[in-house]
Amino acid sequence: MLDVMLVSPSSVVAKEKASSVVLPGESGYLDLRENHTEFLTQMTSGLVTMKTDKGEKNFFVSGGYAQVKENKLILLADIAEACEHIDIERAKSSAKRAEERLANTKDSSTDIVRALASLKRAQDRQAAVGRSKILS
Amino acid sequence: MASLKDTKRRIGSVKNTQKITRAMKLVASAKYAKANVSLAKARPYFKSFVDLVEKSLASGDVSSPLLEESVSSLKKVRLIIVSSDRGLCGPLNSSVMKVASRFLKDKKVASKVSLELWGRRSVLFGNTLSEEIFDKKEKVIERPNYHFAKKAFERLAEEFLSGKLDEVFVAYPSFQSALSQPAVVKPLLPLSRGLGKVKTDLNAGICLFEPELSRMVTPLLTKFGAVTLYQFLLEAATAEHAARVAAMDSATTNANKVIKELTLQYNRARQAAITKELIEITSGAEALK
Repeated sequence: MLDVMLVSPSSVVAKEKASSVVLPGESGYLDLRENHTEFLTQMTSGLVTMKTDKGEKNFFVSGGYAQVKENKLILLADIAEACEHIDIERAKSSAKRAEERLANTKDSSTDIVRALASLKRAQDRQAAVGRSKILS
Repeated sequence: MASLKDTKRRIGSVKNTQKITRAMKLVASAKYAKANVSLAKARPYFKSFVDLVEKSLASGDVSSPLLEESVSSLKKVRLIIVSSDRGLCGPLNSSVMKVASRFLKDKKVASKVSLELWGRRSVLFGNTLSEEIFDKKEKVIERPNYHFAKKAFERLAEEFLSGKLDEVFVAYPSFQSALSQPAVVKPLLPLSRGLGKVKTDLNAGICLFEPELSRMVTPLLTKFGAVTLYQFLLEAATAEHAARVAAMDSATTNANKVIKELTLQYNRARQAAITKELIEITSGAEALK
């Protein structure tokens, strides 16, 4: 079993024992199991799925790092939320807002970068919730 | 000696002040509890992050300009002074100003210091200094947020990398316990100073990186810096509320003492007046005989 700890700057989101953890790595989703070699990866935004004794647990993460060593997996995420706590309506409206901002901004590149990031986050949140529903 | 009426009025005014300090204490302790919870919640993240960075740096020959000491003879130093916006929190801000002044005195030789003032109290303090003021901000630790720390650190890192700055320090009230909030000056850049000595130890390190460490190290360190700065701000916020609880608590106790003294004085004066009247009456009666 892997000892998993999912933390964000604002809280410890999850502390579980899991047989497998799927997470969004730099170059695609990774499935980490027991006795994985020491490993450090950057995470993008996406869904983290932990297989525990009590069933599957799903989380949305955005950015950060995942480190595994001696069966201890630490996920340091910029943002981390349990999927059941995600407010899907809010994600939808923030996606809409970001799209509007993109349509209206003309030249300021920082605004575009920020709007794109926020759009991606909102889409990933929705996708995470959707995926967690399909998986369960 | 003050008249009876005066003393009574003073007792009343001290009682009113006590009501205010008591209310402020209650408000501050609620805020303190909240700040303390968010600090406690963030601690595991900080601890894991420091651990992660140390392990990554131990894994081999990694270098990043963010870790390098500058070799220039005249160091360009930035001091960030973090303080609260409001007063009435005991010696919290003055002790930050004290360590900042000492730091500036030590750095007078061989470096050029510019200041960044975060918090109204430090802005007031900075205006009295001769050093160049780079930036002033208010309401920084009222509600510390990670996004602010990240933006600020990225800006500092940029200045550092382009050679405009050689060292960055932060003076802030650290939080040790509800009773002790010593002011400290901590190094922020170059980042190697905050980490202590990192030895290359392949057994302690991590062997697999994705993407490879040389590409990952600078973003990792930038985030590490932001996280460190965020921790400083969270600590300062918690320290402010803790200091205010202590200050208001001692003010309330002091008010009690003053009230007790004044009441004693009042009773004594009242008794004296009664005695005096009695004497007058009895001596008047004596005279009529």
